[in-house]
Amino acid sequence: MISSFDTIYTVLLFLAIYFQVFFLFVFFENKEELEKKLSSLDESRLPSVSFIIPCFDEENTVCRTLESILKLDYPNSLLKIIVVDDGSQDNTWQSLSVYKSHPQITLKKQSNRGKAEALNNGLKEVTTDLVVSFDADTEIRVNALKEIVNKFVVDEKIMAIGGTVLIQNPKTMIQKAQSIEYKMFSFTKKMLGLMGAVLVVPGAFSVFRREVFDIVGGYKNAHNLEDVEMTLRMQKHGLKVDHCHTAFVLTKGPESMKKLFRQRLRWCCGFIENLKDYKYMLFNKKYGDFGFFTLPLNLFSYIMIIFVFFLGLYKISLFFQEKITEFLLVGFTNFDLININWFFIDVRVSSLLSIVMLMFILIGIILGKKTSRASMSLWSVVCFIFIYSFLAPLWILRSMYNSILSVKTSWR
Amino acid sequence: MDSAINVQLYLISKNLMAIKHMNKIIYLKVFLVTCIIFAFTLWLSNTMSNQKLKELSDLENQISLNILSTETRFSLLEKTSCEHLVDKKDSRIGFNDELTALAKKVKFMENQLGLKNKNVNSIKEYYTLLQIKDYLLSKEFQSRCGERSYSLLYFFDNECKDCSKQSVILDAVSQKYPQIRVYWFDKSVSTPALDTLISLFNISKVPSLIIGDKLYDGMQTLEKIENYIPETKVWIMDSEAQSNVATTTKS
Repeated sequence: MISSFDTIYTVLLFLAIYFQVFFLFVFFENKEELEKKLSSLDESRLPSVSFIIPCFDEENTVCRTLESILKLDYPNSLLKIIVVDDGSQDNTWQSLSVYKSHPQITLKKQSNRGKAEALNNGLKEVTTDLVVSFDADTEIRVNALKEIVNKFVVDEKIMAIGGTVLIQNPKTMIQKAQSIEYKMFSFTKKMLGLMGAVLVVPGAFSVFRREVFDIVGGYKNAHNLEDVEMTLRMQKHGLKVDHCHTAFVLTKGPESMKKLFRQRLRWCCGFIENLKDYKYMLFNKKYGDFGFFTLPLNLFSYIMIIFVFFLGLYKISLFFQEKITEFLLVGFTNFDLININWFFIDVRVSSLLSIVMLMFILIGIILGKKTSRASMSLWSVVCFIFIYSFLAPLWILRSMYNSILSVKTSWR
Repeated sequence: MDSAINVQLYLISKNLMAIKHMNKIIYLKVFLVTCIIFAFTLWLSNTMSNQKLKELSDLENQISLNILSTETRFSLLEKTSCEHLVDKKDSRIGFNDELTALAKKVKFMENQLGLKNKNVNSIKEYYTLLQIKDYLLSKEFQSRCGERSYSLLYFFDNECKDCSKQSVILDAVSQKYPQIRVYWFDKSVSTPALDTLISLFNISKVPSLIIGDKLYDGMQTLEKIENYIPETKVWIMDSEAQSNVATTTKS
């Protein structure tokens, strides 16, 4: 049994390395483009922009969000903000009243119908060239909008661009771990952007041409993951979607393990359910790299994470089982000091490939640091590895469990 | 109505965007590079394993040479006293320490390369022969010079469930009592010498122990083994006395 386990592990490692090499290939092919500074914009050609901010119970954060948008380096006459209160039960509406007569801000209120409906409600008011989907607990950097608009001006074919989301002032261990995760993934996201195969333009900050919604339609509830579904639909329609690694927004991120788990469960369940709805895109030539690379990559990463999790559990339990039987049979013996003799180093193909894979992950982290131009403390990296290595398999397993169960209930 | 026409026009003007680009060559290139990485690790793994196997067979040759040399000295000094045979450095004869170190390495390689690996099997065969040789030699030495050391023959195979437990116990035995020489015989190694040894002692089951020419089959706990060898109590008392002396001289 162990040897067949080892064979499967070796095959999975081969695939994992394949994906990593792929990213490096894309990186080196586009190295110049990544470092290229955009020329300054012609102010007279700037498109007009509307921010749509759906909010639900965001009394503490929404004002700061609005202030950060109003401070953007962008002409006031071209910048509009539409805030849609999705039936908040706290004082969100009262705190918004300060902006009632603000020339750039439109306030709307609806009964609680969910984020997707709130976004659609906001879309009705849009008359500008570009539309920004934005979260009410997120703050934007001063230059972020110009960075993205620049790309729209330069490339007419681009229809939507996702911005880079980072964690603001990470305080708890959980937030520090997330901050590493977000920075790390800014590299892979950028690479997918270069391939035109972005998986998701984040709801927290993404910019669309207004025509997108005429072509593909408005937002759908989509298993509570409307941003992934919107991206899937854009990819399905063959729209060009990119990622901007120089436009930053800062979000809070769940501060406790429980909240993080709940958020990820929503993301993971939502992704699996949406993938079920769009499964015909998987390995479909019509959808190019998105069907052949992005979707398989994400599916594969779930499989890999779960496999490694169980392999680790198996190895750990085996170790303890050995130590316990030893103790029961002969009591405490002098424990052998860890043998540093090179003879006892594992040199099977699977363990050597694991080392190669670790090296690739390290390269990924370094390149992520480079693309997000942010610092990473070693302590945060340790938090990230420690927390995610046991939490991620749990939410993936739980989502799979939920997904399989719901299939059964719908059959009845 | 108007907007619908606009969308249509828009789509036509940008009809290029509906064509998804997919660069097939990069998929092939990446596959090639991944294969190269894979081949390299395969090669590295093989070379390192072979290096280790070579180290093992070198060790075996060394032990074999040692055994041959002792045997020769035995024959030369047939009629003289035992004092000539005992090395000044250590009073025990035989090469059990080296054999124990070898045992661990053989076991490790067996786990790494699998039970069916040819190289591992030939190393195991050789190792079994060396153990038998060492056993015979130390027995002869005992009968001639009356050295007070014990031999313990242990027969096992890789499938039996109790064997893994018995192995743990015997590891502890050889750690606790350096005076006891434990010989590990894997029954699945088929070499004529081992077959003869097995039929000589009438071994039918695994795990089986031979302690002082007596057969004990089935699992034997640490206490039982200590009871079979009465000298263990003396050895423990000796070592305690020694450590007492050490502490008193220190203070």
